[in-house]
Amino acid sequence: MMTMAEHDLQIDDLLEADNAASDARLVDEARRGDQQAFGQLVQRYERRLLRVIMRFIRDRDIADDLAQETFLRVYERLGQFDTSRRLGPWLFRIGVNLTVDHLRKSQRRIRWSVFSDRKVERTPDPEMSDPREQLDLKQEVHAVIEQIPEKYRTVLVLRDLENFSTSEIASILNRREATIRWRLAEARGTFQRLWAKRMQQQSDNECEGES
Amino acid sequence: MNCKDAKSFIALWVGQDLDDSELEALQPHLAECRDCAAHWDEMKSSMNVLQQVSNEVLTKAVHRSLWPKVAASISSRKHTAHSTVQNTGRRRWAPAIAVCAACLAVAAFVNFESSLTNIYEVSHGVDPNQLPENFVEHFSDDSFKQLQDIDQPAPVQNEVDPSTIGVSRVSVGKF
Repeated sequence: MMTMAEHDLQIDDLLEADNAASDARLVDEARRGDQQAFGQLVQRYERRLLRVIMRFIRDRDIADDLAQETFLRVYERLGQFDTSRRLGPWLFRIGVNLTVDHLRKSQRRIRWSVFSDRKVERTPDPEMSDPREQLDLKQEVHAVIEQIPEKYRTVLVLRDLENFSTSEIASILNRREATIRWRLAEARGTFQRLWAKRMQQQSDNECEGES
Repeated sequence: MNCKDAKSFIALWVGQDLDDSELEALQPHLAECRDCAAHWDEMKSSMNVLQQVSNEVLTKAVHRSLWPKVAASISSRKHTAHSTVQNTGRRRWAPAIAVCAACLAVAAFVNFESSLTNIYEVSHGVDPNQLPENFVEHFSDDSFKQLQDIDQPAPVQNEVDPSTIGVSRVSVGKF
């Protein structure tokens, strides 16, 4: 006898297969010049894509720009897309690559500005409370995730924050699933170490404040 | 199984990314290794934190679709691509036009040189086949004046001095 969970999984599979078939039909129509068909694809994927991008970049305007650019690139490369495959991983690959490229460029700019503009650096005022204490859990987690090396961080974000399966991440990042699983294990281990260290520092600071 | 492998398996198990055979291999190690059992608890705790953040709503409830902007960008890029194609078409003709211009320039120069040969022949009474190689340098402004006179009827000898004619015309004018 089928359990409710198994029944739900079957429904999910059917819905996913239906979506994939409908994606392929819309891609065909868009290739033939039907812009409205492409519009339907945009509306189908935009929320999820924006969510994924915003896991890496918290600025909504930049995330919007990157999502738009992703759809433009998808439109320009529709001719190269193999309709026997699923559109989602291909679209997210373009979006994640654009986002990671943007992050690399902005980090390079930050490093350069830190290197070239030393006057900006300020020594913390001991009278002022540490602003990091005011950060909420979400910001704390993001601050820790940002310390994880990029190739591990990307896998962690896609799996643990966005709930993509390891096979989907393998497809998005164009790597073997075994590689993704190995990176995921490393990423979770690193996150746990950094998180524990941060919590330890916070409790030490609190103890110092009380004494 | 050693502790290093066990910790990798724990990191996958905590997110339900471990298959049954791997789990069977891990469990006996966890049962006897306190260090790895403690690591399992720590991993569960950090995973809970990640799951809390995962469940938050990132995008605003009222979400403006990106499609109008994407559609506008597609149209503008199509227009740019069209004008680029037109420009490319024009640019494709540029080498042919340059070659034609160069050919015309060479033809004009050759024609000019043969004209000079004829002028030299006419003005100096020399057979063009016997001209020196640097005959062009022999040309002076006078030679060009003679060139202008070639089409004019040859002046008749012993006729009235032109300066006299000018004077008489002036004097006629004075009357």
